[in-house]
Amino acid sequence: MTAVVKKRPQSAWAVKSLVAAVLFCVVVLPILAMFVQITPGDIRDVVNGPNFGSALWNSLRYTTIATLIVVVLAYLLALCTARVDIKGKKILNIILILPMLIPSISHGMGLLILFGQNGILKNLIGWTFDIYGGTGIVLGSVMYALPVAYIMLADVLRYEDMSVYEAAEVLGLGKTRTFLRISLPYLKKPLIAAAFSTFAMIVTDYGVPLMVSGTDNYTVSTLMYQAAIDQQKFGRGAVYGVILLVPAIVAFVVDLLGKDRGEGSFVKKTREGSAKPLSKVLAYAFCTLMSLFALLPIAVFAFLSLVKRYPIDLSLTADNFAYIFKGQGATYLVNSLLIALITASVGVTLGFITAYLSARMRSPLSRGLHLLAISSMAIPGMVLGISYVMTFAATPLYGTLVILVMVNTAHFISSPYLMMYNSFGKMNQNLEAVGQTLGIGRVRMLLRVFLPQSVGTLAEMFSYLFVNSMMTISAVSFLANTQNKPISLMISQFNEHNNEYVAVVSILILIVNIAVKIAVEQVKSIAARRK
Amino acid sequence: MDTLSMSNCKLSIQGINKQYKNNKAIALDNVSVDVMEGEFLSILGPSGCGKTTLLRIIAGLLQPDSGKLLLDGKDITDAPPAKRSLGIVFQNYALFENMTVLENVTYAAYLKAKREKSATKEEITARAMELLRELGIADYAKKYPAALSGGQMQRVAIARTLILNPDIMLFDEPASALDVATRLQLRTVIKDIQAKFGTTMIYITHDQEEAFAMSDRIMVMETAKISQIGTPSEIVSAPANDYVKSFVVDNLQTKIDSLNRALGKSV
Repeated sequence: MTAVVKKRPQSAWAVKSLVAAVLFCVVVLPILAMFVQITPGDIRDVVNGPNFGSALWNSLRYTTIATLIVVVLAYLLALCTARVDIKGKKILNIILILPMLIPSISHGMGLLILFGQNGILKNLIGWTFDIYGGTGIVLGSVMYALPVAYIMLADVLRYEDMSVYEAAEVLGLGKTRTFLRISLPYLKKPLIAAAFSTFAMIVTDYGVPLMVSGTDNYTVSTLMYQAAIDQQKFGRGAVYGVILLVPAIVAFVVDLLGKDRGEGSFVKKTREGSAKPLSKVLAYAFCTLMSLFALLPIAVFAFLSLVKRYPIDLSLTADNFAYIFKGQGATYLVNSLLIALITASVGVTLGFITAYLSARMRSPLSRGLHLLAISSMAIPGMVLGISYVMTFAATPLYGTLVILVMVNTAHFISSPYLMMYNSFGKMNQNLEAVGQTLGIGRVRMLLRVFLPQSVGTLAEMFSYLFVNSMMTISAVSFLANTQNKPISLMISQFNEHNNEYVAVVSILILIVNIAVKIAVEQVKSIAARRK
Repeated sequence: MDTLSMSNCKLSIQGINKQYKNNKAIALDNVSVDVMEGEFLSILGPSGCGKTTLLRIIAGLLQPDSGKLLLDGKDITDAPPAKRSLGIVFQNYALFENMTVLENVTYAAYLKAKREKSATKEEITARAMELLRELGIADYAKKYPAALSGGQMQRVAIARTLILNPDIMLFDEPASALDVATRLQLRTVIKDIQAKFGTTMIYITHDQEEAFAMSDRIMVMETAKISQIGTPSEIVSAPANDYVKSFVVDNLQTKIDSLNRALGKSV
């Protein structure tokens, strides 16, 4: 029973085609243009490069190890917050996602500041170990990817139907068997999907390895950075990009195949397990440990940003902030705010319209629109960035804020689109039919009924787009010059002797993002109260 | 066709065929029926028999592959839903959750009045309040739908269509999501409206007892086809075929038997 209505099908078709064309131009077309421009010579240069083999191997093993650690930690954390009745979950959830609000490159720098040759921990407790190379890459990647995996798995666990477990108990299935036959099959697909997307996220990041890989620990992403940014050899960079595209596409397909749980599968009962005291203690201990892990770099940044010169002069000062603002910092911060604000506005609008067309006006064209809108999830930021250089370098767009807004919108559109798509899917399927019989036009229904009911989701979408635009260093790094540079890219211009400035930039980004998050929560709670 | 029955026929459904393109299933196979002015007609059948498809075609939400719809003798087969002078009430209410009860009822009427310059906002509000009072939900006028019970929400949905003075009201299993007591109340509400406004009503249900309790005539459907149309007594006394006998008559008999058994009467 579909609520599909065919009033003015031509205009719907035209609007859908227009939106599809826009999405195609900003997401798919640049990638195609990139493929076309790769020459056999580029491929030869890359494959015969001196560090190619070791970079491949490093990327593979460091990412695999980091992914395994992330998935295990994220699963345990999700178990603690979704199954064990511990106190302070709200604060815990806030702390755990804080690392998501700063650039990956900050995590790399944070590790250096903590464990590096002149690191805080070394000075503090004389603890020293070699952070450069694999250890640092793995550790930094875990810090940066853990919150994302945690959110994915916590969501899955929270909506698991607990009545199945009650049935298992009544039937006398043992604990082991219940875990193997019920929990694991239920979790198999989400766990695999989380593992693949974590892998893709880590392997395509250059921020952490750029900071801590040391002198001869190349990864594919740092080689790509070197080729495209340091040497301006975009053809070669694109070849690395194609390599990085592979895991991202695999993760995308796995996620797509894992989604057959069905939106409509309805949960009869969710429950927090009645955990034994011992597991409660363990949960508290584990969550505390993980919170410290998440807070450590942020605390270090806060501290460093406010002291004169670590470790020589620890007196409090605002000089570091003043220095950043006296230089290009103020301009770059304004750039970032503008980019984030415009990207969020454009992305919310595009996501809302696209989701409406694909979720509420179903037709074969809607399917295509849906696939286009989620396809950007399969394209790593670095790859999108280099494809934009190769496509738009000769246009007047290049070097402007506009192209940064475009690339960020294309890069981050999938998740907010899906939020709205799911939200539309949950709204009453007969609303259009009601509107039609009552003589309320489609546009009016959209503005007076669907839009007001979407305020909470729109706020969530805005926050996602804003925060990610604020902290991203991937796609934008290929497209920024001294005019349009966002503040997140300032971090890579400082070296180890300017830790205070790295701290200031990271803290600035964090403060802006926290402020936006708080504002969005306010909007959401007001929207929820009106119902 | 004699003139008398023509003058009494409100909606003539003539030879409607509908096949779904995606799964090739035939949803309606040459369905014809005349609905009389002021009549309460139930369409009774199991899920998947095509009754909802027929309702959507009557409402103009779906186009038939072939066949005609005549409203007061005028061809409305291609008319858009809003030009058919009918209201539709769904099982899941489909209220505007972001509007108050009063706004839900007045919104469409207000738009219409603005288009036609026919009434002021105050007049519409007054009319809406009157309807809410008649339906027993005037106290909830300023509330949002989320604060209402299922039965109350369904009354709002009914008021929302009534305010446009429809010639025909369509009901798509409006009581299915309600508990038994509320369901019985809703029946009274709907019958009272019919008595007061003389509105022609087409009521979809899969509940035999409901159809028998409410209808002037019942149209029994089996996969895409009409099995029988008749008054409740005609159907009970002379079921057209085995399907009607087992789906309608035997089912009702079972309920009566169990009631009698509970009362200690011999079956």
